[in-house]
Amino acid sequence: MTEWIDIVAMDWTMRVVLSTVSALGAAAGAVGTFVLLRRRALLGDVMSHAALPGVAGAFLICAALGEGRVMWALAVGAAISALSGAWLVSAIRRHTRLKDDAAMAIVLGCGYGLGVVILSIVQSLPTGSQAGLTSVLLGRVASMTTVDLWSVCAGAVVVGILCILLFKEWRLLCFDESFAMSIGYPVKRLDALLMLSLCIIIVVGMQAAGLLVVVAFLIVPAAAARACTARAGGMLIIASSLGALSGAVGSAASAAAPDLPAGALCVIVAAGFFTLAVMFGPAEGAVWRMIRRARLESRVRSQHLLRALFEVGGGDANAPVAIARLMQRRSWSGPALDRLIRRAQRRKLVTSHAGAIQLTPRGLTEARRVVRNHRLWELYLVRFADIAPSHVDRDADQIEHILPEPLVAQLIIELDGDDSESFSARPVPASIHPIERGST
Amino acid sequence: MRPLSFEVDGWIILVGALAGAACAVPGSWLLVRGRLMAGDAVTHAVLPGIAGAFLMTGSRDPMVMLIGAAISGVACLLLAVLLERTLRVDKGAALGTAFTVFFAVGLVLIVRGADRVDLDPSCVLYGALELTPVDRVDWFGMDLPRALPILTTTLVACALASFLFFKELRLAAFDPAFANAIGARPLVMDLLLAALVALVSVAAFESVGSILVVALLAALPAAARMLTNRMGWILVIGPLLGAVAAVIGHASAILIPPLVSATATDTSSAGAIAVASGAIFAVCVALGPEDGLLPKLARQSRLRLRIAREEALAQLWRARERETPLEVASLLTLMDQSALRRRTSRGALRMLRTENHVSCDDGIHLALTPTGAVAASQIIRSHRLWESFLASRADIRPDHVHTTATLLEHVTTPELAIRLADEAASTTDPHGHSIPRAENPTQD
Repeated sequence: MTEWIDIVAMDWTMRVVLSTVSALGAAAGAVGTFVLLRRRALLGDVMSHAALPGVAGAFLICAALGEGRVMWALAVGAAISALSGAWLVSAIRRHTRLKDDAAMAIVLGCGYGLGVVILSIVQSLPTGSQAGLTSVLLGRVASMTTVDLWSVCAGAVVVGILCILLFKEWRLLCFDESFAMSIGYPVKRLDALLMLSLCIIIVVGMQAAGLLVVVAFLIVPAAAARACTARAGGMLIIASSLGALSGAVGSAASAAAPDLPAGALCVIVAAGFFTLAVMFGPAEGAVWRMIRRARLESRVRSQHLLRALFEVGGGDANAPVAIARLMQRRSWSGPALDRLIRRAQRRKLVTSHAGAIQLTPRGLTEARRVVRNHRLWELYLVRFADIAPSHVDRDADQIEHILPEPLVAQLIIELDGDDSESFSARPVPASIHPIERGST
Repeated sequence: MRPLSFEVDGWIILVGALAGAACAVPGSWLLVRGRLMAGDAVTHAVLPGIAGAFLMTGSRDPMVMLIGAAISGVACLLLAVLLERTLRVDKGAALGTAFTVFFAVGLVLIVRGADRVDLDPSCVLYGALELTPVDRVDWFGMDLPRALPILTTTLVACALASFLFFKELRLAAFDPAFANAIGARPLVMDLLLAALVALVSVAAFESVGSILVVALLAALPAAARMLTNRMGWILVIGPLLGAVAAVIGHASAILIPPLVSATATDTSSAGAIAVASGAIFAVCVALGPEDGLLPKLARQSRLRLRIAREEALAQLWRARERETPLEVASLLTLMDQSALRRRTSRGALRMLRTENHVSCDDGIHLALTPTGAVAASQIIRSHRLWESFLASRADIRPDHVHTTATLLEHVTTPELAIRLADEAASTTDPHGHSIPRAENPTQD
C-alpha cells in the first residue's frame, strides 16, 4: 500500500499522467455540462470519430512533404475535421427531414470510414510504419509525455475561461435558444464557440488519453452532475470536479495495476461515480425517489383503510367492522390488508378484537379528515364541474390524500358559505352516492 | 494496381454487399424510430461480450463469441433504456454512458486475456474484409468464405423479422404512444430491434469491422429515406444501395490509392465501402425527388421566375393604365421593391419577350403586346379581386390590402377567381381601379 502511494506521489511519469488526465476530466466535465444541457451529449462522440480523417490526412500531407509526424499539424487536421463533422451534422439536420441521431450516426460512421481509408494508405507508405495512429483511438495513457500535459493544460485553461466568461450566455442557449435569439444574443456564434471548446477538448484529449476517455469524460461526469443538481452552475462545478476526480483515481489505480489500460480504468471510475450519483443524487437520485414513492403509497393505503372503516362502520358511530366486510370495499388482497391493519395498529389508529376492526379516537379523527376531503371534493365536482354523482368517487379517491388544509377550508366556504367554526369539529358531510359496493 | 480476380474481388464485393444489405434492414427501423446512435453503441458494446465469452469458455469458436457479443450488445441497450426511463438520464447521455462503460470493461477484459491469446481490438474496429476470401468454410458441400453463410443467414433473419412484424414495428416506430394504447407493446418491438441490431453488428463486424457497421446502418437507410416516403420501399431500396456501395467502395479502394502515391497499394475496402455509402447518401440528398436539394432549388427558381414574370406583367398593365410607357430600368426598380433579385427580373423580362408578350420597339420603352395584355389583365384581375374581397369581407382597411393581394395573386386558381368574382360587390377595387374582365371563357 505505502509502496503504491510512493509510486503515485514520487514517480515522474505517474505525476504527469495523473495531472494530465485530471485536467482533461475537469475541462471535459465543464464543456460536457453545456453539451448535455443542449441535448447533444453524443456530439462529442461523433466529433471525436470525425476527427480521424483529419489526423490521417494531416499525416499524409506531412509524409508527402517529408516531415514525418508533426504533432501540431495532426492537431490542426483533427480540429478542422471534427468541426466539419459538427457542421455536417447540423447541415443534414437543416436540409433534410432526417432526425438528429441519423445525422450523427451518418457523420460518425462515414467519417470514421474515411479515416480508416486514409490511415491504411498512410500505412502502406514507406514512412507510414512509424505512424502508430491506433494509439489515438485506444489511448496510450501510460506513455504520456510533458508535451501532452502542457497541451491538455492549455486547452483546459482556454475552455475553462470560456465556460466562466460565457456562463450566462451558454446557459440561456441551453435552456431557451429562441429567447436568447429574441433578446439579441448572437446564438450562432455562441453555438460555434461551444463547438470550438468541444473540439479543443477532443483534440488535446485524444492525443493524450485516447478517444474512449475523451468521449466518456464529456458525457459521464455531466450526466452524473445532472442527477445531483438541477442548477446549471452547480452542475458545472460538480461535473468538472467529478471529471478531475475520476481522472485522478483512475490513473492512480492504474499504478496499482500497471498491466490494465489506464484509460479504461478512468472510464470505469467515472462510471462508478455516475452510478452513485444516479442512485443517491440529491436532485434525481433513484433511491430517494423510491423512498418518497414508497412513503406516499403507504400513506395512501393507510388512508384508504381508515376511510373504509369509517364508511362501513357507520361514520361517527364507529362500529367494529369484520375483516370480511372490509375485503369487499376495495380490491386489496388478504395478506396486504392484514399488513395494513397491523401497521395501523402499531400506529394506534385502529384496534382489533376477534376479527373485527375498530377505529381508535386518533384513527377516527384522521378518518374524518380523509372522508371530509373525499366528500368535499365530490360535492365540488358535482356542483362546479358538472360531473354526475355516480362518476365522482374515483376522482375524489385520488385527490383526497393530497388536498392541502387551506384548500379544504376554501372548499368548505365555497360549498357551505360558512367558516364560523373550526371545520374539524363539524360533522363530516353526507356522501352524495351510495357507500356500499353493489348497493346502487 | 494489382490485377482483379473474381476469386478474390468477387467474394469481397459479395461479402460487402451482403453486410450492407443485412445492416440496412434493422438500420431502416432504427432510422424511423430515431435511435440510429444505438447502432454505434452496440458496435462498441459487443467488445466485453467477445472477451468475456473467450475468458469464460476458453474457446475461440466463432459461435461462442457471437453469442457473447449479442448478449452484451442487447445488455448495453437495455442499460441505456433503464438509465433513460427509470433513472431519468438524458437520452443521449444514457446511451453514451452505457456504451463507453461497456467498451472500457471490454478493453480491461481483453488485456486480462491477452496473456493467453491475442485478441486484437483493432481487428474488431476495422474488420478484415480483404481476408474474408481466405477464411473458408464448407457449407452444404460448397467451399465458401466463412463470412458468406453467416451474413446470408443474418440477412434472411432480419428480412424475415421485418416481414413478419412489419405492422407492429412500423406502428412502434411511428406512433409508440398509440401502439401502447392499443396494446401492441412497443417495448417488445424495441427489444426485437435491439436483438436484430446486435445480430447484424456481430455478424458483420467479424468480416467488415464495427465502424463500417455504423456507417451502413445509418447511411444506407437514410439514403433510401431520401428517395421514398414508404417504409416498405425503404426496406427494399436500402439493401440494394448496400450492394451498390460494396461495388463502388471496393473498386475505389483498389483504383484510388495508386493515384495518391506510386508506392501505395490498395486501401481498406471496409473503410472505402463506408465512404461509398456516405457518398450515396450525399447523392440521394442532392437528387432525391421530393426534398432533394437540387430539385428543391430548381422548383424554387422556377417559382421565382414565374412570380417575377407575373409581377412584370402587372407593372406593365398599371403603366398602361397610367398611359406612361415604362422604361426597362424603371420596371426593374419597381420589381426591386417586390424583393425580386435583379437576375430573376431580367430573366423574366427575357422570357416575356420570347413569349411575345412584351415588345420593346425603340429599345428603351416597354409595351404589352395584345397577348401580353390578356395575360396581364388576368393577373391584375386576380389582384384586384383579392383587394376587394379583403376590404369587403375580411374587414381590412383599403390602404392595407395591396401587400396581401400581391402575395395571393400568384397562387389564385381559375376556380378561386370565379368564387372571388361572385363575392365581389362592384367592378372596381377599393382604390377605384376597374377590375379587368375574365378572358378565359370558363371563368365567366
